[in-house]
Amino acid sequence: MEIEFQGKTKTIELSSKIKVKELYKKLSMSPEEYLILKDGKLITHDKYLEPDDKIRIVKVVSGG
Amino acid sequence: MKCKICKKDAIIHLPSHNLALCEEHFFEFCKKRVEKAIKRYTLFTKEEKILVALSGGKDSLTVAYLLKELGYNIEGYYIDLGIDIYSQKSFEKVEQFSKNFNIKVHVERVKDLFFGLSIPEIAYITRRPACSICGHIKRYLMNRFGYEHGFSVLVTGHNLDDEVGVLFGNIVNWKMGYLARQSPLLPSSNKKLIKKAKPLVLCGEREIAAFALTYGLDYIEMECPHVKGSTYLYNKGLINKLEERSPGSKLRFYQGFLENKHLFREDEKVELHECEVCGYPTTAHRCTFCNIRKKVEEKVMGK
Repeated sequence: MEIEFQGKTKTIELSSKIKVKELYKKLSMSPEEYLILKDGKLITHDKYLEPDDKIRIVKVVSGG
Repeated sequence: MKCKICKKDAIIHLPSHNLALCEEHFFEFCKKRVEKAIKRYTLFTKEEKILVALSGGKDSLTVAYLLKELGYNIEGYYIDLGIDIYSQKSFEKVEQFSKNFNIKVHVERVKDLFFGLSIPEIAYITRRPACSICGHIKRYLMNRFGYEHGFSVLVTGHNLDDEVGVLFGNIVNWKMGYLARQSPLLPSSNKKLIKKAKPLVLCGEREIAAFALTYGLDYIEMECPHVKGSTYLYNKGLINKLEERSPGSKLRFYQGFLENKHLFREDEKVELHECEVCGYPTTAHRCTFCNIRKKVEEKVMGK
């Protein structure tokens, strides 16, 4: 799976589809602090992501 | 997950509200949260001339967009802090936003007012933390611009997470004066100090980022380089862990605080005088802004 984060792209290997909720855990990211988009749209935690999907992760916490 | 209102595919789940919403109804939800804050805390009316502080980040662009959408009379205000790429990029975002949504934006530059120096350079000269210097200068300039151009209120994009982060820090350190003053509305206490309002206090940071991403508000994702490693950001992380475990904690903490604000009394009322240099209210003979400016002038001009 290709992940775009803060202008950089990383690839992670997935053997099968994965729920968004599980991806947060796999990446040790809090859903309170990061949003996941697929094809430019937000995606809820119950949806599945395929190993060849391209996603974007956005950090939502800012320093004010 | 389906939208609780129309059963279409949801784009966001909001555990603190026990809600999942589609694109259309998430828009309505955010609009209502802002309207609710404006009414509940009597922030301002549609007759008032509102100046919105814009940084190019998700919060300021979202609040300006939503206030315009709700029919408020707004104009934007941007301060170029001179912080290298961060300031360049944030200005590009604000300019683009102004064009896309036809919102007039006024611009002032720190370098024009401080003998060609930027915030980090001013911090170095005055030997004070950059964030402290930046906060003083921004607050002064935003108020001055608003007052001198006939705005009755200054709106900032402070959101629920910002307010909870500040509240938590103030409680940890028992800053009674700060606790007494923390509010979605800071009324005008002097004719030269315009009131300050925070219409996003009922909107979480995650909701605001989701809003900006969904409705095409192209904001700067990059963080100001000076904020890294701050206690405030660390506190936000702790609060987010609590929120994840117990959704709605942030809202309960903040709203409970506002309901019990009478428990916190302000330190003795301070008397305001006119600054001997600029004439704006201050507790000393010369205000902090003019003191900073004087120090910079001495250094730059070799006085």
